[in-house]
Amino acid sequence: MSDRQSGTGPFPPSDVAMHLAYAEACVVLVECLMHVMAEKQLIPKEELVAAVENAINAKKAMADANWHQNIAPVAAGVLAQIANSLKALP
Amino acid sequence: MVNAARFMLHRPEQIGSLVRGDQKLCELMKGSVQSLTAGRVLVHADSDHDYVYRLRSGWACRNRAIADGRDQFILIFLPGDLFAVKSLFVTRHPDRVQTLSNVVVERIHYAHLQEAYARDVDIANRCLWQVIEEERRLHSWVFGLGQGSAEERLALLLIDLRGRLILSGNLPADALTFQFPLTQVQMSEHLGITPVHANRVVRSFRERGIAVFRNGEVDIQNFAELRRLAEPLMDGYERTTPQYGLPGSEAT
Repeated sequence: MSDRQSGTGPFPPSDVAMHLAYAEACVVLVECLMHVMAEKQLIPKEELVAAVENAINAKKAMADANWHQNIAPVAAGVLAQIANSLKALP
Repeated sequence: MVNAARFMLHRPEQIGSLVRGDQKLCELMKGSVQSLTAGRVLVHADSDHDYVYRLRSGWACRNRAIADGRDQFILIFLPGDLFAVKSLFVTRHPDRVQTLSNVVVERIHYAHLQEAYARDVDIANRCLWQVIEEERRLHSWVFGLGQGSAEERLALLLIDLRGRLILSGNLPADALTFQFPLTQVQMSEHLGITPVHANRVVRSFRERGIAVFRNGEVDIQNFAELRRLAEPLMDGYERTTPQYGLPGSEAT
């Protein structure tokens, strides 16, 4: 009998945990794709940085408009890390 | 035993005083030894703190975290380093100091050190030297964060850590493998890049045979290439100090 059938195994992730995991995976995946695009010289890194800075401004505007007030500033912080990191590409 | 080479940045005539100051600080801190586990916060950000520390073994760092989740490692402390020296002069510490590995530290109350600082120029010189050395490293790191690529920053970090460990007598002069307790997330927080980017640079170093991170150690496999990558970010002191150069040769 499997753990799942016996009910003795670890609990499956909650819906919230699954949503957070998907959200995090999306950000990581997009960042990885941006690195690949920069390495393959498909898009100049400056344009990638500009795109992320655009997203930062959008998130800041959301925070200013009291929309997702707790999450939007953190999201802007995550995006700022990505923008700074992209700037450190060769 | 203090290795005089670790003070070689200083004017030669100061070395005697610095070595004596180090020995006197050892005496002052005697009996204050503590063993702490990795991840322990020694100084909380924006808090009053009364002690100055010396790291006897292990690694620690100063870092700053902000409310939106961004976190920057500001300095890494290695065995022999004094840290939180600013307790001598300021009541509040703006940044957090935490251990990166299991550590052994000694400490002294600022008032006790202040009294010794005022009475003994050797102790004053030793404290001041730590601040000067930190300033030098911070200048290099500010330049690296502003102008260096992620690869150059990681190369400089490895050259800097190895050189400091050799200068302080914690690593043989020809060693190319040393303990590296930082996780990739912590590494990214020091390099000013994301964990995704740090992972790519680490992988690139491994694939190009430059350096391999494994089981809490780093193994430098191609020192010449690592040094070539770090070179633009190195200051004049590092470029001309053998411990930051090719093992067994004079730095150029």
